[in-house]
Amino acid sequence: MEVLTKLQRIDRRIIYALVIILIAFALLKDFSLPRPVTPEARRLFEAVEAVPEDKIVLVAADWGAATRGECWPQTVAVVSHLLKARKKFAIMGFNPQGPEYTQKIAEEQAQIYGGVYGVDWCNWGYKVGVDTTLLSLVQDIPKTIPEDVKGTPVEEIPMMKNVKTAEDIGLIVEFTGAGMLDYYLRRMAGVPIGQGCTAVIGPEQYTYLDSGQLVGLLVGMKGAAEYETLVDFRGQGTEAMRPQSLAHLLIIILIILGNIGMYAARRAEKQGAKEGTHG
Amino acid sequence: MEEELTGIGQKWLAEHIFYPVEGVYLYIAIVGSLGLWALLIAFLQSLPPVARRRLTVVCTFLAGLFYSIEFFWPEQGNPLTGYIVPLGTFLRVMGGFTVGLGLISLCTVHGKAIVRRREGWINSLAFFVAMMAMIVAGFWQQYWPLLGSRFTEVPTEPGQYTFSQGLYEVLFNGMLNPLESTMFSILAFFIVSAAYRAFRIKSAEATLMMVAAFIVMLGQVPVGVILTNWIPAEGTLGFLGFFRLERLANWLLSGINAAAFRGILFGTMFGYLAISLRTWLSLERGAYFGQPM
Repeated sequence: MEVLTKLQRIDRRIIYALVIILIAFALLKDFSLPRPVTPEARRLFEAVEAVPEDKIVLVAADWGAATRGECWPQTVAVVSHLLKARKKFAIMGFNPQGPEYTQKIAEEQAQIYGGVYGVDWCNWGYKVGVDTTLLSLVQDIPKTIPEDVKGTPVEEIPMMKNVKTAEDIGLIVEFTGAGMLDYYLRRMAGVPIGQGCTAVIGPEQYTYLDSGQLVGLLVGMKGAAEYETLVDFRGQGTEAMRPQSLAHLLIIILIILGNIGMYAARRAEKQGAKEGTHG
Repeated sequence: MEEELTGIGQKWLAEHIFYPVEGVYLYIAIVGSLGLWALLIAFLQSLPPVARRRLTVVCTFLAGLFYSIEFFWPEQGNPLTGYIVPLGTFLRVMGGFTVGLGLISLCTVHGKAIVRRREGWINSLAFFVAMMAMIVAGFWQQYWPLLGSRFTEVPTEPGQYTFSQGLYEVLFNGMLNPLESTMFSILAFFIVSAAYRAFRIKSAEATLMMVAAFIVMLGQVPVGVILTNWIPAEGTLGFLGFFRLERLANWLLSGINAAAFRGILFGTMFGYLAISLRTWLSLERGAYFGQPM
């Protein structure tokens, strides 16, 4: 009984060590796991496929190094799909690091799937003032984004020749670790919006799926893995499902052990009280 | 593209005041703008605090009023819509100034800490070193990438960098990014430890929460699929497929959770509306509004 009681007070250093060991094992040892796809991830994939040829996709990179773990693989998966499906896209972000990261992703993926800067994709860069920028963007893109990150006037970029207002944007895919979606929903109404977000803010975003304001959603690393399955490649998202699976299992096992310990302690207390009364 | 100037008086302003200039006129315009800005700052500084505050209140109200009227005015023939883009540009430029303001504020706080040798002044010194390194590397690789480099033109091959580009790469991708990611990833350890301590079945509500957490946690990872993939998802007993962990988790998130969050969002938005009104009418009080910090 005493051993069971101790289960409710496992030293946190043991827990940390278990986390490290499990994650390291799962990262080093390759084992296959099923790759299910949720309806919301599939809907985002279909929304990308449905973007008309004369419209562009806006990849809103509102993430930085802190949320890189989840947002990077999500962005890789979607950008790969865009390049593979020959959908023209522009990168923009309200986080200074986001557009820079996404530029890197696009350059890497363009090497694999093909794609030329200015023809298939371009980078509008980091912008300040979410509300005012989006409000202006709806009316006049060249006036709001006069130059891309390379200093080329936006109107001289081949893929931007016929892109003048928000009506020329066929889809916005926003990647974020913060609650930025509200701004897009408010200002870019009428443009289909999809999102890739961190697991922490995922539950909040489901409300917008039901209402039809979001055409699709990728939540956390799992969302990235799902999209990789749809695009048909194995990237960081799929690889990360192994450590994430084991970590979730560890949490569940620890919770069960903690509760067993708590009941054992309670039982021991009751028995002690009974014995005390009889004694 | 011929610009549409639909705003009231916008055409006159574009023709007489805000028209593009080149050459020497451009420099005169820049110097003139700087002079006007200096005069404006001097004028604001000369005002007594009460008058300054009143001016802020009036400006805040007018700015809010513009967007309100523009929104509620019928779309056809709206005389304010034309000003949305130029005003947005103006506000973004103003937003850019806040970066400078932030820098000044940080330098003041940390500068004082170093000069007065306050406790932890070494951290302030680290701040200055890190900030200067990043600023120098950032500007260097952006504007003078070939300076101090053996290359005669900017390399385009992946993995090849000029000295300044390499320096920036080490600082940004080699230091800043891993540091930020590390800070965030430490959460994984705390979450496991916290979940172990917090999820105890002490009441019916706690039990319900724990069951929901188990379903969502397992349903979110492939291992959850393995646990319940024996449940038929097709055929006569296909309806039982709903009880597969991944489907149950999805139902919890998109059904129960979405409904609960919608309620929370409604409440939050009412509060947001109230705060917006109070800010617009300058009724809000506190460290950021009426009182010194």
